[in-house]
Amino acid sequence: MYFGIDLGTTNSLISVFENGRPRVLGGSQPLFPSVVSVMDGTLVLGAPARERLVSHPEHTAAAFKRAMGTKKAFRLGWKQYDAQELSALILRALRQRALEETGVAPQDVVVSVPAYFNQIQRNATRAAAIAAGLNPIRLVNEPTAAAIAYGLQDIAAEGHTLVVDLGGGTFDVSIVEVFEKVIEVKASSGDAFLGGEDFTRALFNRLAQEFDLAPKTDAERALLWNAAEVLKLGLTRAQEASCPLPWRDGARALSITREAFTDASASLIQRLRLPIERAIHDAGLSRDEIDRVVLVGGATRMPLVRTLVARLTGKLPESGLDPDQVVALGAATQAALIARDAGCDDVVMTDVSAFSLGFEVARRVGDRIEQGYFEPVIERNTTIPVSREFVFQTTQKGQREILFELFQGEAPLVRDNIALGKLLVAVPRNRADYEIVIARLSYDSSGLIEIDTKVASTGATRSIVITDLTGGLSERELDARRKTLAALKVHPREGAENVALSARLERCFAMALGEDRVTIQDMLALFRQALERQHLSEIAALREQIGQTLDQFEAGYVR
Amino acid sequence: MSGDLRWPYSELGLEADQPTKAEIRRAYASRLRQLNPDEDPRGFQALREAYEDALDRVAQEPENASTSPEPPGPALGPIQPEAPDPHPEEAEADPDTVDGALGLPLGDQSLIDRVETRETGESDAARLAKLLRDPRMADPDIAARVEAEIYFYLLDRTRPGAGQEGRVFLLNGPERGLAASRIEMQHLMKHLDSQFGWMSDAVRMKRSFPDYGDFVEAVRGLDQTPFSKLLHRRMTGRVVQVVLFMLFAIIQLWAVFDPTSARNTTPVPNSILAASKEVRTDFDFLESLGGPLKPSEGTTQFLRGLASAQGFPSAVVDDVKLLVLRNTLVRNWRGSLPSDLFSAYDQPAELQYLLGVLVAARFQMERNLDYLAPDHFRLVPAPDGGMATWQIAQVASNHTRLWRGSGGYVVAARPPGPATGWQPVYPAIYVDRLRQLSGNNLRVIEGGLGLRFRAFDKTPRLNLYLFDDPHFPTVADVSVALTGHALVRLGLSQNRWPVRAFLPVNRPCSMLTPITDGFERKTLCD
Repeated sequence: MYFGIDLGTTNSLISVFENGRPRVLGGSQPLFPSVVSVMDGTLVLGAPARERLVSHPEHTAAAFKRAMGTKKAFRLGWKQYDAQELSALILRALRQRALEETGVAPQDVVVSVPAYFNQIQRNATRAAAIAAGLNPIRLVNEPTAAAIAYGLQDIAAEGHTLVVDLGGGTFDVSIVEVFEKVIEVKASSGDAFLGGEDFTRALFNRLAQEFDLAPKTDAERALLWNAAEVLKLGLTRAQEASCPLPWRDGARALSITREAFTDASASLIQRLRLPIERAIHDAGLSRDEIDRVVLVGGATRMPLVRTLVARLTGKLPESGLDPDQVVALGAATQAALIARDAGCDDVVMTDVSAFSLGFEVARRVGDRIEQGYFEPVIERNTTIPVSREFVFQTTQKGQREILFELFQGEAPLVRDNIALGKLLVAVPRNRADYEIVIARLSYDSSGLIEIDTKVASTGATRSIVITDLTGGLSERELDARRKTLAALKVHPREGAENVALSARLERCFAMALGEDRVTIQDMLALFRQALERQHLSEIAALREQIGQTLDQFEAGYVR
Repeated sequence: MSGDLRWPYSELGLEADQPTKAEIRRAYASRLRQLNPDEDPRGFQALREAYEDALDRVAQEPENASTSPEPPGPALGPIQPEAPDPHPEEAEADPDTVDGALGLPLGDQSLIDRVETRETGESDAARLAKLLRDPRMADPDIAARVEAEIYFYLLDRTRPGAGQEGRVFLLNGPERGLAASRIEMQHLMKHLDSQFGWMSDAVRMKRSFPDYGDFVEAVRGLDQTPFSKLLHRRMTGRVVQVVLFMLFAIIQLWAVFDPTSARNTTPVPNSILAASKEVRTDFDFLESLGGPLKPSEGTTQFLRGLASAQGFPSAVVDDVKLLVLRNTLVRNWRGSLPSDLFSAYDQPAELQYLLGVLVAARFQMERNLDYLAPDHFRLVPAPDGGMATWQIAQVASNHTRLWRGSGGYVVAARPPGPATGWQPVYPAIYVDRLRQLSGNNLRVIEGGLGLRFRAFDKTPRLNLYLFDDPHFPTVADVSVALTGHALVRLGLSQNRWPVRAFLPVNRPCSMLTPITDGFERKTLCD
């Protein structure tokens, strides 16, 4: 049994690979919203937390994947958490889910990350997994995971596939070629800060502007955001969508057309183009050589994304596998592939590093030496594991050492790239000539980077391994984190449904107008009373009824 | 590449002499299954290198080439006389009219022209920004051409660094400069970066455009305030000014004498493995070609190995020169060897080129081709006066530098004297070929060519256009600004092997598409 986790910006999933096939866990609701909320001192995770985004915005945190690798603090009530801790909570909940459903507590897992996550973001993801009590044996790139899921399904179909993965917060594009049961990633590109959430924001801003709304409180912002979300979803089904919005100075009837939405998202659409074009270019292909286009990620349901992709590729994009689930399925399959499980039927996969790796160098500029230039040694989209050599020389005769500073990124100046580590190499003091050092840079599939240097004239060597795979945290610190997290009080699952319903009622109440509002208020009171009486069967029956009524309300909310 | 002569096929476990692409892939897949890249990264790397090299070689084979959209046409005959285009100047044509040869709607040619044409009083930055927002830029082909045009337009308007300053844009000044302020240029660069990734995609930029390093230097120069200005602004009194200047001078002097200052520890890239004694020996040999020096032991063994693998008679094996020629040719052109090809390599220039190529192979140097400063070109007319080649002085007395791009090798030479630039040298065989195929209508060919035509294996992406553009200065004027202007017209902006060819004035245009071992003339442009 092999486990894979899709740790998404909006939703997360856990899946298992057994008997030659992957499947998602979680029954009829495999999507676990990546939302954490605090309620009366306990933590609420997933669907119930998501409901509280509108009713208790200052106690709820979402889309923290965007802050992975940063120290951004998310305020939940009185306490603060960072993105890694919040992600660890989600991961722990997923682990719990797997234990309950399969009877096995996952230890080794493959966790997905956007292909365009840099080394620091990846390290943060690993740290979160460890803090959740898991062992992340590999981080798989999300589009690669999707390619594996699709590829395994139809391994005989050879050719080039373009995977377009637009999730809640990240955008990845990969070109994969399948031949002789080999799934080979040829190029990856993307934008780690572009996702469905940004489209919601564009709509949010447009609505605020058009309907003259100026949200002043967190609650108002959350309400308008929620409206933007439901309208965005509405536009997936129809050319136009409208919904009511209760506001402090009177209710509004918000409405938006597909055209207006496309117009409001113009700059985002432009940002979608570049990585697609870049990936095709980097793979050395022309548009026509792409045999298949596959859409991954819930945000690809937006018609404007489908249209753009179709236009750019000249092909009709497919989403045969559920775009929300395919990454999780691929992650579990990747776990099985690593173990060379017989169920994988001899399929092998190779991936590439999405970013270039190189060193800071200096240039002779006028009369002087100017530092700060980036010299890539391992160019992006090189199949990994890879090892490359490069020759460097001193800038001045008589120089005693060379500083090798490693950077990851694509910009020509190191200030715009990410610093990963440094190595100081002593060279013999040679007043007559320049000294030469040969540097070898190696990058493997687990994300380990190694620098080996050799002074050409003396043969002296020096190496360093950039093992900071967990974002600067030592073994002890990680352990401490794990314990702290384990000690946090999480609301028990038994009560979670009630929490969810209460929160849902509060959310719908905030959204509703007039008669609907009164009805929901009544239902809320009814439910609260039932909870106090604590008759489980009564509560369950009421939950069912209220749930159905709210379903109707929400279905008819957007016209 | 060790002494293994059957490499890369041996690494892949292939017995066949000239395997097909399918066979190579199957072999790679099967080896990959046996190997675990996570446990054996070196083994995987060796396999991968062999695989990529094998694919490179097979791409040149006509019957095994990757699917091209059009099958190669018949071999070329002499150029048919065509009626010259009645509208040689580009007018505002109906945008729906498509120029088949260039593949561009005719109306968009004007977008490209608009890069250069400035209205009086108009800011260059504003004009270019407006161009970038043009709706026609949504078409990737048009965007690529306009991008290249703008790049070269801007690069042309920089001047090299002097003194403390690096390369800078010529702003608000002389005729040849840009009518734009520093702030406007900064905004324009931001726009160009968000649209094309000019300052966030060094790898693509280096591959697609020459002198990218210089360009970055100039962009950086936009951000820096000249020190003297800074000094002047912050100083209140002249005395303070003098004191600070002296302090500055002292600091500079101190830095010069202290070699351990951390500021200067950043290395400079060096693409020649000059440290290796072996390489030094080979380089000396190259320079003294025709003289008494021999290549290094390692290289001699290597070349001998190649020669005997080709079944070259032993009497000739000892003559390094000849066996180099022979092996290079065999490696380059599979199949039968026309006897007169040999004679083409009698010239020292060609010989040096080939030797350089093999030495490069020997040491597996890997650097992308850097296109060089145009002012180090020298035009050398052919003896029959019909065509000229760009060269640098007498190759025998030059130093040569070796590069390997992806899939090929280029030799460049440097003119004697205090020169700073390197010039790719074209082998005559290639020039002859082009001349032959164009019916002696070639005027100038300049650029660098790899030993393997890998850059040409995707025919839609690289075409040679030979035509006359009235804007180009005539060849006799050596101060021709050899800018990418020609590159754009030739549709080579994405190519890392820049090749340009000019026709004499008033000649019709024809398009040559490279096929495996030559060129095929396809359509006519107007």
